[in-house]
Amino acid sequence: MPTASHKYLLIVLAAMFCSSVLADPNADREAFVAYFEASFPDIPFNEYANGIYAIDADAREQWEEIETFPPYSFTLDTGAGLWNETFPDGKTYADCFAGSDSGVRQNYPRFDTHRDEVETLETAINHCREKHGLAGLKFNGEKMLALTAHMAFVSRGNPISIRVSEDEPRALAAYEAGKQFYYTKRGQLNFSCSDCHVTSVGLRVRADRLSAGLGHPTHFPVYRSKLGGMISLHKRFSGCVRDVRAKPFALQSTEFRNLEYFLTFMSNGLEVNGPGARK
Amino acid sequence: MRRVLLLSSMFYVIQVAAEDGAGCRAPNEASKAPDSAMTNYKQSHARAECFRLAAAGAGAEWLKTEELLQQSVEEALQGNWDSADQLVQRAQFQAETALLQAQHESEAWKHRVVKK
Amino acid sequence: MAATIKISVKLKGSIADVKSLMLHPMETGSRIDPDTGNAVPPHHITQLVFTNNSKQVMVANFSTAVSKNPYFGFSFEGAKAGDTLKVVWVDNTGASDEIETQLA
Repeated sequence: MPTASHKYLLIVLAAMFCSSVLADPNADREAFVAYFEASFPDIPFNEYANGIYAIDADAREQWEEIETFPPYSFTLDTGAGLWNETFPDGKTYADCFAGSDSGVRQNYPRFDTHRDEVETLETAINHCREKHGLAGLKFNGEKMLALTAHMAFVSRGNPISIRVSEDEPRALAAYEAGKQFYYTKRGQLNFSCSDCHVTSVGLRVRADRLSAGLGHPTHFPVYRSKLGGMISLHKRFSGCVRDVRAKPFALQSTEFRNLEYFLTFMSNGLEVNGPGARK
Repeated sequence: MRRVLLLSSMFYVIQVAAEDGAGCRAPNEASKAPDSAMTNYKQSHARAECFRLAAAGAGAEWLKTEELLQQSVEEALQGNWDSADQLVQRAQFQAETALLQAQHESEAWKHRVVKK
Repeated sequence: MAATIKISVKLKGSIADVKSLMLHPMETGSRIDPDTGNAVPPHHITQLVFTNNSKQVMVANFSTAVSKNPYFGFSFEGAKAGDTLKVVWVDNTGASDEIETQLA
């Protein structure tokens, strides 16, 4: 007689099997894009990379003024310097990232079939460091933020190109887990990511308008005026989970990496335009 | 904070918390000990903590549940049984509701997925 | 060479549109350090001076109302290509930094 936990395990396995048979990430993405294009017919596709500035004209005007002399300028200088760091064994980041800092950002996150998990740019940087005898960087620390800001900046204009291979059931399962997370209500306030960033786009939450889920990851890491500093995508996820009064997951946890995998795939085709500047 | 955490660990008897919180309500020890406010509190705390762990296992724990439990321990240590009980009941309510939420959402999320 | 000031100038006829970004913690002295429980001492820019060919074109007196990493923009008349624009900031600890650029 199967116990409750055995039944649960069977359901999870069945769901994984079913999802790998029926999952169609490209169809999901086309539907996602079509939804926003129908909701906002005047916004061209590539504008979604600008988040709320595609929707809120007043905010856009202020942002364009700020961007003439962006607040992340100093961070970019630091990041460019960090990229050139030589490891104890004489190697550099370039040895891990196919010889160049540019052309990398748009391919992350990716599914790592050896580690059997989603690899983000941050975890890739740390895997590189560990491979060459260095401790990993803190995920929301100054150095990691500067390095990821630099890697985003030098890939500006490249279209996001995330692969979710239909031949790789575990990658599909990670994608599906991220998708489930996105649409699941959580916390005391009982909101899902989609409740705000799909259903309520353009509406106000206190003084701010809600931006579309389409295009969210293209401009991270982001300089936040509120913090006077940079913030990573997972730190933003953590803040959103906290805002709906659920306990946040750890930065680069399985949940957030799967979520990033799903969310970035939804933005395939939009151009990398990080680092961004927001309130 | 650390003191509360150390003392808090004295309070809960480790139970296997099933995904759906089953077993959190069952008494975990045949209580022949004399009825005391502290003993009753410990049982309430253990029950609430069991539910909290189940909610956490389902990835659905709410933001303040653990803090409420810690505040209830502080109150119990000072002998403020009524407020300790109120806090532990609130914590349990949060955890149980989070579990219900997770169970409901395990199907409900599919209806929100944007389709063509 | 300044590590804490970036400056950009656009010349339109005789009007120069100046934008600057400064790296500075701009502590008001009221913020409590979460680790020590004590107030972080005041550490903020008190004055920002722009000179064009050594003639003052802007003096800004900053106080605690200006936030971290200040961005400051203004325009002035009477500029021409080849002029030397210099900006200096001074803070309440007596520290300062400066940078120069040629108008083009």
